[in-house]
Amino acid sequence: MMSTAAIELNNVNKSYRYFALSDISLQLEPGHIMGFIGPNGAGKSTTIRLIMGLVHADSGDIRVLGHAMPVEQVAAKWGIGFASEDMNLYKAATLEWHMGFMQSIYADWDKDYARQLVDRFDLRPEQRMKGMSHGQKVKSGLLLALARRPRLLVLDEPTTGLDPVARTEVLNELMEVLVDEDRSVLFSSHNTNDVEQISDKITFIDRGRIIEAQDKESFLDRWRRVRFETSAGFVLPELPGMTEHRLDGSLGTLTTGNFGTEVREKLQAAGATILAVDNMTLEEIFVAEVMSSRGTASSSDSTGESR
Amino acid sequence: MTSPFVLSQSDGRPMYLQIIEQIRLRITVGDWQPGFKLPSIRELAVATRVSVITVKRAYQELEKDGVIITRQGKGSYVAEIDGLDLKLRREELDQHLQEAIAVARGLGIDQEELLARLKALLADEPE
Amino acid sequence: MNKQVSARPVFWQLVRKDWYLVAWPLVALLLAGLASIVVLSINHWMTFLVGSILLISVVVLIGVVLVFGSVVNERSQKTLALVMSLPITAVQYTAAKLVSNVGVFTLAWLVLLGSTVVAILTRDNLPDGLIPFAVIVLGQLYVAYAITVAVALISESELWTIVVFSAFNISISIFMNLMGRLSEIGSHMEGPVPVWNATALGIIAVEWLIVAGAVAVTLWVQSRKTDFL
Repeated sequence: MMSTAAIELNNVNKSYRYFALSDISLQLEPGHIMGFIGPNGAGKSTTIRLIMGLVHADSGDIRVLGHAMPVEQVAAKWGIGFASEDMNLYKAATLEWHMGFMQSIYADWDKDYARQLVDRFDLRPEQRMKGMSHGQKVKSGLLLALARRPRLLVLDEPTTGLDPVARTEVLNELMEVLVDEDRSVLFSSHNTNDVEQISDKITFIDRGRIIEAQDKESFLDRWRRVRFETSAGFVLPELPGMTEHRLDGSLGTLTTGNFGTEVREKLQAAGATILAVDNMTLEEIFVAEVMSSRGTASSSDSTGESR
Repeated sequence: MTSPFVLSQSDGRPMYLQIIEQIRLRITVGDWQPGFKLPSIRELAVATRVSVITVKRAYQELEKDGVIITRQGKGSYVAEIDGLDLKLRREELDQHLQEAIAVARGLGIDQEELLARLKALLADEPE
Repeated sequence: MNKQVSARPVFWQLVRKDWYLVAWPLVALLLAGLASIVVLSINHWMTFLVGSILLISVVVLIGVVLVFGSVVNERSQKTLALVMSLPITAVQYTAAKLVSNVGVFTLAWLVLLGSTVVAILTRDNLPDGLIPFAVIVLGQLYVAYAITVAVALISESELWTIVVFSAFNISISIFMNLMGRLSEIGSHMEGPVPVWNATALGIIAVEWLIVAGAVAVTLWVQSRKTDFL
């Protein structure tokens, strides 16, 4: 059986008065977790609304679980579990009532799993939403999305504002989803730490554009910070993927998103001795990507003045 | 899953290397004998809360190194090689020594001095 | 595994949910409505006046509770994202809102209409000629409500809903005055039998056309919205 992509966006555009999503393409395969990372206001929520069929694109194609959005949103949404940081449950109603409401709609609601989640998330079903803490509200919303075991989970900033314990509880449950090979998760965050460990694919978005989308291992593999020692008269050569460099006396550092033997060889040919090649965290990579896409990569060269 | 692996985000090394190390360790100490069936990629990913792609990468590297063997549709097994644990022990040591060599080179220390330092440290070792 | 096969009527679950969420204020208002009917049926002009004002207020308040409790709040309390994540379209959402709102309001309105007509017919001091006038004025109440619901759904704005609602409430006495002055209506108000002349029937027809139009326009606009949330 050919497996259709869980989410597929091709050249999607959507403009507002003061903001535009330009040429968004992304693909999430079944069985994968995609971390969707961007600064606040980068277009994460708008993209997610497009995926949910709540906002119509000006142009481009959107398919979710094989259904064209927004036309076939009803069919698609049977298979989607959605939760968002700015989604509230009904204040006056209890969590129990919400669970009953979902159960009345979804035949695939798993009562036992819902009970387990109540325990694991440390929630009290008889409590009204208005008396709950922020963390409890967020976890309640996630519980409603998770307990039906939907084929696709679309989560907009699910871990924002959660304390470390609650965040771990939530991330653990997201991993649990992947026991089943057909299920996928798209989750947005401005916090790379949440995304780094559990994501298979990472998509960076900034100012309404996708600046990079790759599997996580390639990201971590390609990016390196290189520390090197130079001799007098050293001139930094053109290096592939270099986003930032600093020279301070005879010591230098540079960041590259395309590390490999070419970088090593060119540096050595220019007379530099490589002292260390450091891995970078996803957060550092993210900042470097954003900076270089904005064309504001910082470079300082104090060598000239000191000589 | 028997015992979940101990992986650390603050450890500077990438996750996949940490997973490789943990698997090698289990083989080295004899917990996982040659022919032992490894957990599936997905099982290990879920158990360690690490993405599937990271675990897959670790398995691929281990396979490339001949430590494990993957049989299509059946799963991965510890390679049935005589003295695999010894081989892994040696490889582990070599890896650290290679790092030391690289550091020495960066500091401009030559081979003789490096060996002398190693001997001196061994002599100092309290036993 | 096809999940649509096991799909349950989401539409009616939404309607039920809306009723559940405004259940307490609704029950309280329905009790108040019954009380005002009791007051209204005591045979004295004073209690009749107080009772009918109370009853009109109750019906207006039922409208308020429905519009704000289930339409305006869905957005302002940010629960709309939850509802729209369910397998429904914006039009189905709108239709469910109209049914849950109009359903309850129509019931309350019919009780109001019925008790008013019965009161007029059974009392000697109330001329039966008042009936067309009463139907027109109560029809206007329905028009005001239908337009308020439409504005709430279309404008997505709490402010505009309040503005429209208030404007209608202020203008209801002007409307009554206007109708009373209209000779075709006013001249028969004191008469012993209800006169359903062309003017009376025409006004009633226009009122209900406006109600139908408000519903149709709401569904049409909602189906054309490209940004629903």
